[in-house]
Amino acid sequence: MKDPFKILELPRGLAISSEKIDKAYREASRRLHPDSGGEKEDFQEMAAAAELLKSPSRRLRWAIESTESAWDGRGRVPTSVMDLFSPVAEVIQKVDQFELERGNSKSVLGRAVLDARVPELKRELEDVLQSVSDEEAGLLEVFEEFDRGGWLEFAEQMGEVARGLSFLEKWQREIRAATGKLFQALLGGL
Amino acid sequence: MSEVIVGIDLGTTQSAVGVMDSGFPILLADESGSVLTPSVVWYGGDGKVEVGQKALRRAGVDRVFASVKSLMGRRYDELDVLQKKAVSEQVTFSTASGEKSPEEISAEILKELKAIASKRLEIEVVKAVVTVPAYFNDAQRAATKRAGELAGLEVVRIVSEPTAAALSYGLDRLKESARVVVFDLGGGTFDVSMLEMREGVFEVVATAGDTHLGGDDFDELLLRMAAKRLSIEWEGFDGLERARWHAEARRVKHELSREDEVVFRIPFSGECVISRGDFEREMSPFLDRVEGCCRRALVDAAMEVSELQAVVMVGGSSRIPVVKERVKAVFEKEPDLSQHPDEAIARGAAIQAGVLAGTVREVLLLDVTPLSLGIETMGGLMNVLIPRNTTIPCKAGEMFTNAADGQKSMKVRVLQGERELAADNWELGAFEVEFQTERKGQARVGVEFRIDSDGILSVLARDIASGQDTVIDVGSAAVDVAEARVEKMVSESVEFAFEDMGARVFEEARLKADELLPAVEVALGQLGGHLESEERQVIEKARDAVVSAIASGSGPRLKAAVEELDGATEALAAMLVDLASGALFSDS
Repeated sequence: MKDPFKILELPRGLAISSEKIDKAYREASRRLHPDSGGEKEDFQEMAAAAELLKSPSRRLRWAIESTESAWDGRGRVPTSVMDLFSPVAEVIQKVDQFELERGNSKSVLGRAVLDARVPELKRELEDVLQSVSDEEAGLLEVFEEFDRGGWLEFAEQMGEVARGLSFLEKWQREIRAATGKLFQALLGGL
Repeated sequence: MSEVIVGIDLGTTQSAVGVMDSGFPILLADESGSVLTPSVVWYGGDGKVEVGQKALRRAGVDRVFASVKSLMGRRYDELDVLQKKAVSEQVTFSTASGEKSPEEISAEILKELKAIASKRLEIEVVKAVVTVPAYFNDAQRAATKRAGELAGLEVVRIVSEPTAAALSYGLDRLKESARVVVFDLGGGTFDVSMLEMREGVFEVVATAGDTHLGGDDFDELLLRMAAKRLSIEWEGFDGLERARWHAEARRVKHELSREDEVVFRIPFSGECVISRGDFEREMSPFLDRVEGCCRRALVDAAMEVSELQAVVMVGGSSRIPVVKERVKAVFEKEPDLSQHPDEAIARGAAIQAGVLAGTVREVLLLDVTPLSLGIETMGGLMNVLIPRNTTIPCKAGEMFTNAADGQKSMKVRVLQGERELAADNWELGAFEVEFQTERKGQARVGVEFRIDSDGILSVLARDIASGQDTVIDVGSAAVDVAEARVEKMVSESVEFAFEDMGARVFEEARLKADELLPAVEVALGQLGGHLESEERQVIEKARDAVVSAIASGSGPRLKAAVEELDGATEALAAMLVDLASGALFSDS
């Protein structure tokens, strides 16, 4: 893939705020969107580049690949990330179990008894989402160090962080989806 | 002078057409000075057609066609009972001028709007931006485009209705940066969209909705409430009777937004009083569905309600007080009612028309696809290729290979929707990928799925060896309606065959009892203190009856006892639900 930083006219660097990426995306849209006279292919390429940069794990992965270091999706993951695996899996399983039981439920009272557990589940989801976000913020702090030291030098460490981040992003999506399921169950679904 | 493109809101109950005039969107009025045209069509014999007010005046006397939008691009097997009564199995209406599809009827409305615009602008209008509900799928969008073509219009863009309303809201706020929600509850459809507006760029972040929820449902609700009170069987109504009752229901609905009580009156049938409180209570299942969509959009956008600067309400049903109250409760903010509920969408369509004509340069719209697009994988699951809320235009590729030596082709089903199982999603269609004869795993064909700026799909296959692209016709999903119906009838008859068998009755009731008995203990433990001793006795007695019915082994007896217990614990269940939702929606 072409250099996403270049496509969005951003300085090459891992430490970048999502606001900066959004701003660059809007400005590039002005230039490239078909409705403002741009070419569809260029716009789509730019939108895909912005999507890549917005995900810290994909951004990091692209940086590793740009140094022509080997990237391996399987490998060491920071232990602080691994420690989060059980609490995340546990609460998501609880929500899945809740959804299953509620779907099979045959009486109004049976559903009501189940629904009484929803606030507790929602709190647990919020707590675990917070832990995941905190962990992500912690990992992002090393991005500046990677930028200063040069990407090639840190390739191995970067791989470990990238794998950790991609777990965290996946979990965030799953936790959000689980939260959505809770509301749908209570509000009669879509 | 640049070319003229008009903006059209093709609504379920009424439509409007607008255009940019010296930098402002204005709506164009018909001969009687009205900017809103009822979406109603009347067919006389020998090709006579009337649209709008004129057609509406014939309602109750002769058959007219209204609210056809909800049938655009839909298949017979997806329609509800009432809709099925109104159309043939090919989803056409029989009119005095022959069988007409929803597209053809909509085309008459578009022709009328085209005529109004051409007359006002004193030129022949040929290009238009047409709005559709954000939650319309590919087939519904394509049907809308076809309706435009039938009316002699080139539809240069399909725009989502809440997005159009956001343009109308944001045009005088181009310097501001804001996150806004647009809540659009119209005559037949509901959408909610979250947008970021910055320096004239309108970026849709997430959208959710329900294409079968709107004012028509509330009319139907009032009709049934009144019929029940007057002990009249509404199921037996013929077309004209239904139309009369609907018109009265609509009037009562409008009045109830101002008055506490309104008399529902049908000449020669009777009258009854309907209070706002009664209406609001019956509305709550609809409001729950509305709230469900709002919550999902918030989750999808990863936005907190505290981050929102405005909640813009449009669509005729936004006038209903209890709807406003629910919106305020969900978003914890006073709704913004600055936009005209019936006109904002057409104004927004006019603005986008101006952008495409090159007269409006400061605005850029970045819209998304509302539904995930994917293909069916082995095992009947949906494999998502383009997730919902991806900015359009967009594309995604997938590589297909032969699974067996010499395999010539494979069938690919294209799906739209959010469910895990392929069968639960909407099938857009299917196509065959052709392979060169090769050994297993050697033939390679890349398939590209493109969603254009109208939210409409096209599919290209690329032969990797030759680099040759072919456009694939996904076509209308070839579900054989007759076959599907036969299958349904067969499965129903099997179910009926079992129904009288005692063993099955007992097993079903037993399953329900197994769930209810422990639930009763839990609920009594939690809420027993709030119950009157009499209520408690009734529940306990019903519980004991279930226990002894299980011992008796009699299916009918257990079924009756379980039903009794179910009824006796209704109040208990309601208390639990209140407690849960109170705790859920009050914090955070």
